[in-house]
Amino acid sequence: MSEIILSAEGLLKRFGSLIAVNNLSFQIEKGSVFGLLGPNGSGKSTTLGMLLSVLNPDGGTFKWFGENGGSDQRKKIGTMLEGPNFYSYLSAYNNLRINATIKEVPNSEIERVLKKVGLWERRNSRYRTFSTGMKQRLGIANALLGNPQLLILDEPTNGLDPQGIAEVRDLIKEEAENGQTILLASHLLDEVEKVCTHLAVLQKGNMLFLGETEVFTKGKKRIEISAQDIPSLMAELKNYSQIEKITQKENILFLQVQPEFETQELNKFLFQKGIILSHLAIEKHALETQFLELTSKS
Amino acid sequence: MKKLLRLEFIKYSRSTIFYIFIGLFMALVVLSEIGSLYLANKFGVKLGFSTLWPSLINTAGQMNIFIGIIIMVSITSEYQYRTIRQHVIDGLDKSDLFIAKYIYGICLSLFAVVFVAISVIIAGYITGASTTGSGPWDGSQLLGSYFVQVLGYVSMAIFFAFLLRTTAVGIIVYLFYMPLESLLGSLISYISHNDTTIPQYFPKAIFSNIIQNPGVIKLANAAKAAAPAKTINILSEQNTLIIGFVYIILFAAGSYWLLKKRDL
Repeated sequence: MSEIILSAEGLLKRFGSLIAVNNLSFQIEKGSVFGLLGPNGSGKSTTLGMLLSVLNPDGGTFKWFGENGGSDQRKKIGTMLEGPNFYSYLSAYNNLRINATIKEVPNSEIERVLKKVGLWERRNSRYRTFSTGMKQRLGIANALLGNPQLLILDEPTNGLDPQGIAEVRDLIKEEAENGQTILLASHLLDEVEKVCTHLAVLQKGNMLFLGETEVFTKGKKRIEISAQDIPSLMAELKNYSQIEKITQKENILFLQVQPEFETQELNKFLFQKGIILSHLAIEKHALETQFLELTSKS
Repeated sequence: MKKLLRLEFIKYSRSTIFYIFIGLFMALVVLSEIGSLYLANKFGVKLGFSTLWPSLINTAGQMNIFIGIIIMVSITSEYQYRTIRQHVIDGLDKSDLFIAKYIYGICLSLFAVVFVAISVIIAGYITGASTTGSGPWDGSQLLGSYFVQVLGYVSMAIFFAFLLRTTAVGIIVYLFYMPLESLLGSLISYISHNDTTIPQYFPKAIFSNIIQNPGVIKLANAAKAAAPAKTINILSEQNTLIIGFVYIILFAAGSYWLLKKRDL
């Protein structure tokens, strides 16, 4: 059995009469990229707030690295929760010096992380002079300080332009490929689908799903196809066993297929029947389809 | 402890607001001392060091509010920047945050004591207090009481900061509390037929009376002698100091409770 980084049991948080997090239990294994997915207000940040001791839970327990969550455990975690929090009048370097002092890591670490996020040249600039993207990158640098055993990123691409989003996503992927355990909270399905191995879906503080991302999206593959002769194509598809449902929108057919479905097999089958496809695509947003289905049910 | 001190140093050694308020405190202490010396000179009073220390420490004590504002801004801006939250996330305990702010408050109080001591010594030599026969440290034992007084104002400011969490509201409440307490004291005194016993136990009254103004004591004693039927009880310096300590502990306990109990 792999090492458990975090185990949470029955977490509960109330704000007045509102139950923000309701009896939440989950575990994070070492080396996994765990996605905490849910719409705004679903309880993602509240859950993280309790786990990081900034919010007092109304119930439940949690353990970091097998021990009760204290400051020594939090020093092993790099976190950016609800955006970067820094002193506006201090330079990037001095802002990171504060965390280096708290985590008791050498100042040489600051150079490493600032270079990693591309801010070393701006180390002496005051935080208030940074753009949104640079602030976000400094927040990530702060989280990476001291080679944490777990990286927690809460909406890391918030407020970024497309280039910034791609940069941050690449950085997360790079960290994940290096075996870094990551807890990523986001409401952006695409972001979670691309990097997460495991998933917890929250809505109104309740857990709707917990498990591997693959399991969540399994059986929800959709294929788009088109050809010049749509009626013949439709007729042949009805004879293909792995297709569950066909819908048509203008000249495109949308196929709901079984999990074992392979696109190249369908292409070969149709070619043998004399049909040449002019369009063949796997729908990218399987997670979105499943997520919307799940949240609308609840 | 050393780590917390280093943290506070990184934060405030580069803060413009910190230097503005410290500068204001220093300038106002010097100006108020000059004013006191000018008045003494005008009425032909020759001050030796033994009378210079209580007079100028009492005058400087009026500026303690600025030290309180410095510590208040340092705490409320942590809430504003959400850095207080980030520190806990990064690995500090709430108790560390509390201790760090008290260390900072104690350092500020010590700075005020040292600055006032230096200014009194300089003022004494400029005005010729050294020629009156008293040594430069005669009366300087009041510096200990002055330290407790500044720490009292600092503790009160720390409490208001943790209670209110926003800079503007915190400063307004802190500043308005002072006249409000006096007003409430007067009202209670009026209702209880000029009995000033209760109002003198209020926190601000206690802190400001830790260094008792020699002139006010004379006036109170004269009033008591003229109207023995009236209840004019003045707490002794020693009792005021003890009650001051109790208030400091109460404000510290209240601040810690607020920090621990509330979400960040």
